[in-house]
Amino acid sequence: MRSFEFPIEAGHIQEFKRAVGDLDASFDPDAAAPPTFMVAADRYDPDYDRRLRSDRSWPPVAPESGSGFHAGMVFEYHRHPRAGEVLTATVADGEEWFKQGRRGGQLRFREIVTTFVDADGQLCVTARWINVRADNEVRE
Amino acid sequence: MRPEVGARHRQVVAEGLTRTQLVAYAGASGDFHPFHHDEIYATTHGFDQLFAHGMLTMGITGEALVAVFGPEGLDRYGADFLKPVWPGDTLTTELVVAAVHDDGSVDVEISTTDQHGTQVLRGTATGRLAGD
Repeated sequence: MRSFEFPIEAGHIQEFKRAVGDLDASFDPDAAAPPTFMVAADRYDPDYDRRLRSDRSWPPVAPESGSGFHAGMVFEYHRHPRAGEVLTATVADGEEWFKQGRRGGQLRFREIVTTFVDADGQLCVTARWINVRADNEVRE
Repeated sequence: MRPEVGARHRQVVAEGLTRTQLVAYAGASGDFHPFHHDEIYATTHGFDQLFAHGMLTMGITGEALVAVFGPEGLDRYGADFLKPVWPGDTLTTELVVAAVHDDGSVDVEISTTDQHGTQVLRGTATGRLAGD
């Protein structure tokens, strides 16, 4: 488990809105975060490895490493954060489950759960990143 | 969109997705995985070309949700990424009301398809419709 601060910046929201198709999004100092904006907290995660880092070679995650693929995502909104807030993100391992693959073999699904709380300690958003990879290990 | 089971909303959410938009999303999200901006890396690792982040497809689909729920109307939004989305793809999202709850919130089923009719994202969302 790890925690870091995620400042919700109006310019970042504008940039994100344009990137997801609202091409003419204007700067709004009081903007509400778009539905999937919490994923951009990764920018502030010191352990995030999908970026250039001085302490690692690039690229850090190759398919042959068996790290799997991003299969899905779920956001639960307890309150929609707005520009100007600073949230605390806490990342933890979630549930793990297995399914039979269509081509035989077993698929392992694993959740990474990030909770975002505001300055008053109130839960704003829960995000569940679901990763999948072929599982070749024999389980008990 | 009316709060009635079976009510539909259909919206073209991306027309001819560009590589530039993928790069813009990498910058905005912070996800610089080379599959999504480095053509040589993607083809070296078995893909025909680079492809969109699943989260970009989910974010683009989210524009249709904002259109019907407003910017703060969602309680939940979940999606599965079914197929890769490629540069040049045109994406259409369809929302269908699956349930209406006593508190006025609705459940919608989400489907985003490409220009060939292939479903690339499947999901569900719950919230209160804008103006309701």
